Amino acid sequence: MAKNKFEAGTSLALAGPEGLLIVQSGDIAHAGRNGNVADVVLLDGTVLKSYDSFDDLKKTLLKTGAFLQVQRSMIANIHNIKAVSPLTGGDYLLIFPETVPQIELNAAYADAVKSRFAVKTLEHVEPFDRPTYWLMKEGVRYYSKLIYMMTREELLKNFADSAGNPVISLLIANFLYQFAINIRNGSASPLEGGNVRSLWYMIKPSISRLGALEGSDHYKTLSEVLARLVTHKIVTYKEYGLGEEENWVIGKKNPHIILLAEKRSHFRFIKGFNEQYGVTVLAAGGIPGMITMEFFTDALKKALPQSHLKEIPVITMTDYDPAGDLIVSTFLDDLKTYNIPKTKFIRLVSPVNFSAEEVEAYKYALVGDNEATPTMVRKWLKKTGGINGKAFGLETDALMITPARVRELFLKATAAYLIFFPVYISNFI
Amino acid sequence: MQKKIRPADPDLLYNALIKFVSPLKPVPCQAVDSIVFVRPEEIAYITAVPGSLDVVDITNAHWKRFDSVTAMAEKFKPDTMFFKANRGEIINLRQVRALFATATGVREVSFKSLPAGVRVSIADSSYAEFKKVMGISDKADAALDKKPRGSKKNGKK
Repeated sequence: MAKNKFEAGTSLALAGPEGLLIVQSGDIAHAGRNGNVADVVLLDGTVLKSYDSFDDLKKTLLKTGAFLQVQRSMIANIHNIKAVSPLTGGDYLLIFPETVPQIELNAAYADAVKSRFAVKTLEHVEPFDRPTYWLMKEGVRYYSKLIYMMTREELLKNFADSAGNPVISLLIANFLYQFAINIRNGSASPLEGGNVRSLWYMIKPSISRLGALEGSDHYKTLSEVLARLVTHKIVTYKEYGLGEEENWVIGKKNPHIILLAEKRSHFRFIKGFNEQYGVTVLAAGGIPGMITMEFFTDALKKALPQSHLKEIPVITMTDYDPAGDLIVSTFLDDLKTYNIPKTKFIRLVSPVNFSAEEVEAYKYALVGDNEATPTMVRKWLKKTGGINGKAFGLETDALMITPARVRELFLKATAAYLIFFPVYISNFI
Repeated sequence: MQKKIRPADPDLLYNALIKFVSPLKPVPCQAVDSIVFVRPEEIAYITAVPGSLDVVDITNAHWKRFDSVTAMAEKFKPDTMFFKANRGEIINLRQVRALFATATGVREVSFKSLPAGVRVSIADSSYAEFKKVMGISDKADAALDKKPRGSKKNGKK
């Protein structure tokens, strides 16, 4: 049992406060050079000095097989390492039982530690999951104290950059995650009926303590961080108890057909399609918010028979311009995020659905448009051809002038997908 | 100075011995900002939760892994004291304290250092092997207050 012999360790004589102490190597957490001798840290946190030089001590301890070099002048007992936390620059923090000070593992010695733990990386476990990866990317850590109860000093200690400046996005990400975890484990209650502002009001005093309320719109920062955490499936709006203004209806007979309107003012109009054909409708009001997408897709998936997940036609009533295009692509991406991957995009507002005379009358120049940068316009023009190759767009309202045409185009686009067809439609077409 | 004499704690000695002879390396588990190494002898059981596995240690702390139960069972194969109790759970037989039979006839085990309410069921298909490795005789098994599934309390009239 060579292994046992190795791990059983050895005895060492160290200088205690009352004299020579005999210590088992298994009780040592780590040891480092201190002048001509070594400081030896025991598992109970006691620090003893060696009689021998650090190099002699190192030689003895490395022979036991339980110790590894972790820095140029420091060795650690691998069996007493509880956790490893990545730092910047390829270094790691070695975490021992609570009584023992943490020490750094220098990147140069990381391979030996990996080998002893039989892991390929010390960054994360393998196999790994994406939400945990994103948590790490966001810099989210575990804090036992409630973040919104932290003092200014504590906030600065935990959420500042190397120059000591507070990083508000880091503070917000950690607050949002901690709050979600506390709701999950029952130590906090969801904000029933609240909205994103309710979360903002919880953390606003902490940001105020840091003197960072002025200058930037940190409510916007919170909304963006929250949307990111939701996109990466780390938290959900629902678990915070947040509500949303429902500008969508799931179809009863044809839930798999989505009619997407860009403008909120068109909601009443598209709702008529929901009532008549049982399709799903959503008035995005610009780029649909993640909170809307979470509630919408949640309800949609419940209504959707699995067989229809193969292809979901998304009929769009969005402007024929770069912003309209962005709304559609974001909507389709968000559907993917929420596991509705196979979609087919059918645009209703397109020059092909107007006469040449109408196009001339309704078109507007995209140059100088506030909603799109020149680069966006250029890309859009390359993708769609604009109007006769020129940077012109069409508003959805140009189509809405004749609602009968919208209906006609809608029925044409959905003919292959509509499961329930009202009897009188055949006459209509 | 005299060497400090330690009291001989049998549990401590047993755990130390297990630590030395266990063929398994510490299990890396994911915490929010670190990898936590959980010693096999400190694991009570491993249970499947949505999207991941929870490695539950003897202090009832839950640590995350992202393997399947089958893959995890494969990793623990060299140590026969890790036992796949049912489709979603692996138990450390060294940590088992008691065996129960519920009113519906399900066999469940509790653990030495965990609250009594923390139990893991042993699937019917695994029970014969469990009985064998734990040395439970037929007589001891019969003594369990076990009511077969579907039996009626007042069946005899």
